Amino acid sequence: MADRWHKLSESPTTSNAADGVAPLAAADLFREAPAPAAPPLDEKLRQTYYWIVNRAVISPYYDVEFSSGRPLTFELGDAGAELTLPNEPSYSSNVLLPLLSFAVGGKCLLIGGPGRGKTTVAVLMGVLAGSTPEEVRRGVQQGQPQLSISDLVGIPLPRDLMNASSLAEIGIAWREWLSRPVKIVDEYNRIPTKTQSALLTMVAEGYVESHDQMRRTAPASGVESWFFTANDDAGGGTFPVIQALRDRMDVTVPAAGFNSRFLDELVARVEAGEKPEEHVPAELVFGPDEQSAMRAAIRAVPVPAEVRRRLEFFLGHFEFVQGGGRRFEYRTKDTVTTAGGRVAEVIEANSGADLMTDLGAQTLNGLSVRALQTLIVYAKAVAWFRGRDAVSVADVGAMLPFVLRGKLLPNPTHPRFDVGAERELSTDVMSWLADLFAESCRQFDALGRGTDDPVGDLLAQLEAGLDGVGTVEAGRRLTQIEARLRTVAGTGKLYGRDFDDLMALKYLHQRYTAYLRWLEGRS
Amino acid sequence: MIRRPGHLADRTPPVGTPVPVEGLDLELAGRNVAAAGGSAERFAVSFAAGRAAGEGFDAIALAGIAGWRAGALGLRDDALRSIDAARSTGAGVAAAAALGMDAADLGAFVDRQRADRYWWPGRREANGYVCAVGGFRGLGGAWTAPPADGRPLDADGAFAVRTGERWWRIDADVWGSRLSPLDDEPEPGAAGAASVLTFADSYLAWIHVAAPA
Repeated sequence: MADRWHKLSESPTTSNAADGVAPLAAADLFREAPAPAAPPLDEKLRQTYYWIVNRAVISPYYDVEFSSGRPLTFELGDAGAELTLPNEPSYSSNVLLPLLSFAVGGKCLLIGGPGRGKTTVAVLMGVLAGSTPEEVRRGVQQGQPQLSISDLVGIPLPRDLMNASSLAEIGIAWREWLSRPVKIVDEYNRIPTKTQSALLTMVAEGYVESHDQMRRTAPASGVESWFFTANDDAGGGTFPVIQALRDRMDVTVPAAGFNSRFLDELVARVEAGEKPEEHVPAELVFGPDEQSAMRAAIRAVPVPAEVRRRLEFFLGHFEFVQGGGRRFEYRTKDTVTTAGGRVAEVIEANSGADLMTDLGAQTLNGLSVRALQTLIVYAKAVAWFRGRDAVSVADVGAMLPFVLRGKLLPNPTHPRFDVGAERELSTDVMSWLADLFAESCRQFDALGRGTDDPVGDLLAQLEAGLDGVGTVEAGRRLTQIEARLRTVAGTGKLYGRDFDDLMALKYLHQRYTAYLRWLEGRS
Repeated sequence: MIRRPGHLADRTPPVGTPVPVEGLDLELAGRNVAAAGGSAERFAVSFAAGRAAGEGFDAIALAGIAGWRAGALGLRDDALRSIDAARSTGAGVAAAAALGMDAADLGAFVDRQRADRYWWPGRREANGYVCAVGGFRGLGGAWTAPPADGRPLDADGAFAVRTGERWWRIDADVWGSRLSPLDDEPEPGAAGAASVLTFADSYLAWIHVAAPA
């Protein structure tokens, strides 16, 4: 019987492509051919993705969309529902994001109700890393209210406990799952708080400690990925997830429901008693060297200047809050939060601003450096996965909702979440985040920030160095900086998107003032 | 309907019972045919048909003909030489059976193939369409973007298309085709009787001969 699991997408990569097809003789058919060259790693990862969505996980959802130009859309019903048909290959987030997490060595939180395939996807990642299905299943840590640190990491050897005269003499029987390349923690919001803290050390620092003994958790490849599952990420579960652990989740991926049109496949699996993780083709397993090479290749994908500029503009919206402090630098959401204040109330009190234009008014916080680094890594990963030479705005936009979910928090009192058709965004965080980025890009284009970037020009001027810059030139640049500040002040409005520019102008002013003082002192 | 890559000459699925031949590892040959871009299943059946029509013909040469018929493009020149040899020794029936055609058509087929690698007796009925190559990778094909900018290359039977930012070389004949990624955009060659057709709404590229007779 044909193996219905073992069907890979065609990979037509050959060497000497420019020379065409190498001639063969009939006698060549009866000689053992040399092993075919392995496909490039990005192609192998794409083959893996398509194998999972076509064979392993029944997931006919294509929510990570890519289109060149405007895609075809259909308005359905009378409540604003719209179905989009992207015109470039698009992907199922609940397979793509775990796969990219596997590739970059990330931490992926899979959320959704019971029985939606979250653990199956995670187990598949473990098998792709070279473990047997049995080993992976045995290594899955089941979150439960009685889970202790010893359950998680291992126990001190009883013999040593009796005989040791110091902690250093106590050997630990470490749990075997700790050094697996793919680590799976099921229902992590049912784990007691103390055990969550031990888990945090592993996730954040890459080691585990018990009785003064330490063990690194990274496998031979140096690439370890973590998969957590939870029924929700809104505070449900037996124990609240500690914020530091929640923050370590690089991406949050909602699991998709089952599409009833694919019941036949489900019936076939029930009848055959088959599990997808037991049928992963050997060609799709990534060895330790391949895992390190894959991560290195992803990190090497460049982020072009125009993409960086657009990303800078987006990030600039969220830190500032008018009325959050007195000194200009302290007018931030962090100032309000760390003082125990309510950001939403401060935003609401700012009656002079257009809350619909100021994107920063839609969030309760700014973005952490960790979140930004994660966004860059995943944007690189998806660009690499799509076979692109560089990261595009579309790559950033596609990954942004999954990275920022749970990190950029919506302001529930913002008028946008209160009225009309936009109200649905209060529960659909992913669409809200995607829209936030799209709106930021629209503002970027409308303000001409891609072509006219005076602050960027001033920064580049300083970056070029001060060698040969005399007092006259330094004075001229100071005047330019002050003129720019006057221009912003002249608008009579202040938005979050200006905050970082204003801080940068002050920084430049300081640098040139100090330099001018040094020049004058020297003369 | 989802259209998939394939040759119009292969519209009918291979039928027949493969038979073992002492001293020949036909399973290995089938794997090598598949590695060369052909179909192991069609190879087994074509070889069996040739053997059934004339056991006296050299089995290795027959395997080469069957491999070419099954889509292993690299066997083309070798197979044409073997067919000439078969005709000169009166074993044309076996070669024709392996190719799935009447022995009476074999002479015309070989003569036409020398000048037109896309010819087979059924081409007129197919309105000149020879094969569709590529296809969407998610459905088992080769490409993640629709092909465009199709052009002939200088080599016989070679074309190039661009999918997204990547260029591909297509080599094809009546029975088989191969795709190979190119590092750079290739120089266009002189146009011949056959051309490569691409469509904005399809992941397939067609090889088409304007004068199908």
